[in-house]
Amino acid sequence: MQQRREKEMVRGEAEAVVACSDKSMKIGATMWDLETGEKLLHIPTCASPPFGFLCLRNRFLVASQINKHGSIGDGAILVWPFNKPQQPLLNYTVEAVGPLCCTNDGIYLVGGALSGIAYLWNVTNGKLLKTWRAHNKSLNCMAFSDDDSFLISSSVDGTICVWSMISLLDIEETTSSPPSLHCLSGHTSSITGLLTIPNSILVSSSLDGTCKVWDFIYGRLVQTQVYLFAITSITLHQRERLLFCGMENGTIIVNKLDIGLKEGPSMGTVAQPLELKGQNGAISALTCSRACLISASEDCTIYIWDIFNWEVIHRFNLQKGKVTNLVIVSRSALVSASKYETVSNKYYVSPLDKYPQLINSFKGTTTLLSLCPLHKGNQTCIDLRSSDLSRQKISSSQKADVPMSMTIQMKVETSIKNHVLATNMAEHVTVINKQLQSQLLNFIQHRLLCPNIINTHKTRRKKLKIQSLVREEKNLKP
Amino acid sequence: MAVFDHFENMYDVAFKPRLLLSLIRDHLPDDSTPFSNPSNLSNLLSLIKTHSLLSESFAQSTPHKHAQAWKSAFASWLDRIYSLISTTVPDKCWAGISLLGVTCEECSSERFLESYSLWFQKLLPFLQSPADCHLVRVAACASMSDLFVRNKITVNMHLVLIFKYFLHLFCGLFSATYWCYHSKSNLAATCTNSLLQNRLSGYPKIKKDSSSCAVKVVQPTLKMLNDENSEAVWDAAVHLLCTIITSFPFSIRNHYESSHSDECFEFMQVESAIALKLLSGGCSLDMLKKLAHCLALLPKSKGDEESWSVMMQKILMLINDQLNLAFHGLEEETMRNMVTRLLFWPGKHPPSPLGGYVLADEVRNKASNTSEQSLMSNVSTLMFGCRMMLTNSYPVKVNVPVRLLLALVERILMVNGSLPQMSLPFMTAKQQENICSELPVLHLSSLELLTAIIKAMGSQLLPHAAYIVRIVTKYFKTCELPDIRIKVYSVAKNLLLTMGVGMALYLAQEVINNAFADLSNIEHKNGGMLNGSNLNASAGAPLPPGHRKRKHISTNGSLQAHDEGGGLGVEVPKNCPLTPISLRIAALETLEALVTVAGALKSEPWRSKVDSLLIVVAMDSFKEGPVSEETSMFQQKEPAATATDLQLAALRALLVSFLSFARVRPPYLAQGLELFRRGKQQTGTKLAEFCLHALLTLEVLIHPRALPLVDYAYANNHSFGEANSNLQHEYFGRNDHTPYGFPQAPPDYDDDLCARWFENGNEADVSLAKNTKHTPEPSEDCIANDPEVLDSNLLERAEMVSETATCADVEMKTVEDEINLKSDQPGESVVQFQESVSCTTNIPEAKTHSDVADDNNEKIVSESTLPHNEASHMESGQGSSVNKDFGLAFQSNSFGQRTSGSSILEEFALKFGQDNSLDDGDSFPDIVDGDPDSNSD
Repeated sequence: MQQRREKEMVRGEAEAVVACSDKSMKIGATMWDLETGEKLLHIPTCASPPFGFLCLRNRFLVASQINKHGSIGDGAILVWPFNKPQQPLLNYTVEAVGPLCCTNDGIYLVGGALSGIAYLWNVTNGKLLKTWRAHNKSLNCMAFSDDDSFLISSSVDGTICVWSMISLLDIEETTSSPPSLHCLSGHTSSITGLLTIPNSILVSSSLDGTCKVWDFIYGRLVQTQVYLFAITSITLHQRERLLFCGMENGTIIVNKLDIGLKEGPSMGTVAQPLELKGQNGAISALTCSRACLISASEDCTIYIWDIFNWEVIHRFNLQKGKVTNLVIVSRSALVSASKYETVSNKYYVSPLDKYPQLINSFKGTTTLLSLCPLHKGNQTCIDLRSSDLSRQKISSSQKADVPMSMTIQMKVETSIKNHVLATNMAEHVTVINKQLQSQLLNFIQHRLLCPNIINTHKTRRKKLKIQSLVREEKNLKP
Repeated sequence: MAVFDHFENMYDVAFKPRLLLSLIRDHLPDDSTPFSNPSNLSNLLSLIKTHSLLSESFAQSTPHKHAQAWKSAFASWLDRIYSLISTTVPDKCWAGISLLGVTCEECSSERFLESYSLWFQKLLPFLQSPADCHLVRVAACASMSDLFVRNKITVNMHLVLIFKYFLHLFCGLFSATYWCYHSKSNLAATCTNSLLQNRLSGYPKIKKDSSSCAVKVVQPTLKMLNDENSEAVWDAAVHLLCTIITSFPFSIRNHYESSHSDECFEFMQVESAIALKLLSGGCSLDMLKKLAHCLALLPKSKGDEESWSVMMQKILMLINDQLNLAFHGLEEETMRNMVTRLLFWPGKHPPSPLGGYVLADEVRNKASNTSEQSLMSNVSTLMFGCRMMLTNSYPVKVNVPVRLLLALVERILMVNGSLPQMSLPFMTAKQQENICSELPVLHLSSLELLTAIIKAMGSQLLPHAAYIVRIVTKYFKTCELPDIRIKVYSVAKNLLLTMGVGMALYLAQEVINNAFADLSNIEHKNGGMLNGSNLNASAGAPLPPGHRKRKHISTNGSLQAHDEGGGLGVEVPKNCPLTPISLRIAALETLEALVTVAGALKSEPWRSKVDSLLIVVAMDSFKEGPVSEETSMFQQKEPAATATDLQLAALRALLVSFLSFARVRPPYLAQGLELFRRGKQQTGTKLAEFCLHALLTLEVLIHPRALPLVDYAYANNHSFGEANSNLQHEYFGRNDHTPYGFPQAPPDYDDDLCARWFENGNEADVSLAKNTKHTPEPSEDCIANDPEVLDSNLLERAEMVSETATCADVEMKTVEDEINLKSDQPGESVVQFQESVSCTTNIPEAKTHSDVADDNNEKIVSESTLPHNEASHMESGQGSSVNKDFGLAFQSNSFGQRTSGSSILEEFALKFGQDNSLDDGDSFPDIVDGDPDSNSD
């Protein structure tokens, strides 16, 4: 008991989890406290695809919005500051962006599109630094290495590419398809999770039921773990080196990730690992905080498990939406961000550019970069206020834009829904028609081919009829 | 005062006014008594500061008598100072002014607020009147800046106080309303209100006052800067200006806003006064730096983004002008044109030159006559200013013209004093000599600027990282002077630390080449003679893998041989290092950064070389350890770096090289530990401190502990067998690779399952080794080549290998499988294997697979590898690679297996493969092409 109390004392700041769905804009994103289970925040309009939701520097929530029904129009990336979640910053992109990923220092943001093209922004000045074709098929997951010097992207066809940030961002390299450092192929189905560990270790999971451990600098396969079902989500508890694999059937398998001292590829055979059961749908998102595992499933439930005794602490429900994203944020950020006096606004988020600057070439003009005095304190109140004012200006200029566009988007969504319904109906009707027609044709064929049989039948029937009539008459007579 | 009026102890409040009074009496000069000795004054100051005699701070309970005594003592202190200030004797006046400055620093804030305007009035005349001697004016400037600093602090404190009172007010209001409601008393509310009003009314007044004070000072200070010709006065004036800008930046601007024309005029005045001093020459280097610092601070007085950018551009334009003059005929036109293009944006009007047009013309005329030296020193001073602008804090976000700065750095670094053929007739040897004499300083300052850029921008520099790498690698090859090399090393170190492994991939080779050149000059001398003696000495070292490694590298030469001898106290003649110690330290630090960052690059070929180099250097540093002559010799030359520093740097790098081994036990651990233990014995030194820390850190490495995962609930919730298998897993992972023979016998789990586990592991590894034999080793090639050169060919190879790797996986399984069958105990791995087959059931067509799978295991193998093949085809999309892949895949499949009827199975499998591919469509034709070839295999 004593130990437990001590542990609680060192636990540090409280954490909260944010969950969102991709089903409809109306479901939005919801934030719960991990310890108390209390609902802290609800962001009304948000629908982002898997891996399209992240927390920037504990100050902003960033989510890519996707038009689900295959419309080709623009995508959007929304940024909510924690202190004003009602006023998101709306950034339009050239095409719908699915997975997002940001560096640890929150300066670079990468988005991957369904077309396989990746976009890289500098968040602090909003510049679109690079656009390149990363994969031939649609991008579905991205991750930065632990020191932010490599970007790893994966696609629905099971390929994983490793990109060196330095060569990717090289100004003098202007081709639209820079060479990747490595292309890791081995998975036979869509990738469902990428995790990077220090010392250039990458863990990838796929729907083909395997989890692979790679050394991504050398492009080597280190380990393969084979499972019974398709893996739909993975996460890692860094301290304990536990790997959690969410399965298609709703169970979570807990494994010890032992990369060990081996050099060559090895086969991790896991003898009856610990399984956590409880959820019904496929596990759609997993994440790990200091002391708990949070799992979300397609049956719209979110479970919070205690890592030490594997009990479910809390259960949440996201209203009628398959949960696609779970993000851990620290509560202190939420609290302190609400009164801006205590937070130094040294970190900025600028509206993201839609198109790259054309004059970004070697010979053009100076490339300006913003210098945030990151490592300096001592800002006076006046300065803070002025910087805050400038940000308010930005947000207010965007503010008018936001609700309009949001409502429009929601309208569009509903109309698309109706449209889909109508087309479905029409298809159904045509199918019925076709069936009827074919039946009719059959009937006619039948009739044409063997008319005499029918005739005989008919005559026979007639005869029968007549006979029966006669009988009835006879019966009536007496 | 009574003679026997004793006080309690030295902390007693009663003691302080007494001491203050006696100090005034004994040490301060009077109107009548002459100013005896300045050293008296310093004594007095130290007493005042240690006892805080002017603070007037005492507890609430202090008797009123003592407080009153202190107050009166303070009053007499002030009186004496005032009288000193008002004298005409310069040195007394100087003493008075200096003491007033001290009073500003030391007195309580109430006292300060009360009387600062009076003090300001006392000091101001000295700044305005030109008649006084330099000494007095310098003192006045210093005291004035003390006053402003204190003012700033007090104002800030006041702000905090007001904030607190706000909170109080809210609480008070609540309680007040509460009280009003209950007891109809208005007392509380009025109390708090009046308190607040006092404070609030006080605050703007102070702020306004101090701002107006600052405004009054600016003009006289500028005048001093312009008119006087003593450097001490300039120094003090610049200091005062800096203080004003940092403390009350907006006071200046407010003043300017009153009349627009005035503003422009005055802003230019400040700027041009500094610029004039900067460019006119005749100042010392220190003074120049201070001026540049002040110039860099100047945009703060406006505090917006625009003024920062304009100032930066002005400085860069001036640098550009000066360089154009200095480098005339020395550099290629393209570089100059590039910088100019970057500097002047099309469509944007360039700002007026620094210090205005008049000054610019003047400077230009002068510059054409002046020597190259002054041009160069101007440039390096201005670059220092750029550095300050980058590293100083600035209230708002600014845009840094990184590209331009880097181009400037490159431009300077590219000039090495050699004359192009074309300009030979236009330049005398004397001119060339002049330039070359100044070039190193210029290179140094541009490297410093580069470091500042890297530090200030952090990861935002990524888009330019490749450009910097190109500059640095090009320059590293050519630079020779030790001082410059040290700077290049520090640039490389900073780059590595900010950019991580990605940067290490680019810089590693260059850093290592240079570090080897700088560090291994010892080894060339000693290596040869040591070769004979060391071999038997090292035989005792229980390091089997280390030996292997050494044999492997022994072709490299004497490096290893030397190190083996070193640790065991073989007598080595004194080496005389050619490279200065500070350069070696810089090289070591850079290597340390490289190894820290690039721990992941464990299989790079340079890694083992670096490790051996580090242990050699560390051992050598111990050998020359206690020798005093050498260190003293170096101390004379460069007091910054001694042999001890080198030792420390070497050990630091060594520790990092031990710790960053991810997979293998470091080969030189034993020698290293001995060094750390030896270093620990030099108690009281920094070295010993570090060695203690290192030993503590290494403890985990020496005795690897398999900490039970206490919280990890396997052991509690689940069967004992599971926990066992976990543990086995750990041992299994280690047993064949740890050099320090990990327990060979398995721990006492008395079931044979465990033994079989180990067996399986070994078997699997053997088969693995076999497999990897006939696969090409691609990783080194891939890394060594620049990613840009990675053509499709290489990619193809990489794919092939990864593919064969997966094949190996599967095969390994079958081996395990067979063994398990032999032992007649269907173990877990068999079950696992079947699971792996059934796991494909989520792919629709896999149902038919499982029918076949019942017959033979080989079939499953060949089938399950096929999807891999397809995946890779889809990747490469080249018909040519298909054949190879197929060949390889089937080779490895049939390797060590029964071959009977395998071709039929393959065909069968292929059909399934085609079925599989129907979904994707793309790869379908490829497989048809590959079909006949694979059959022939």
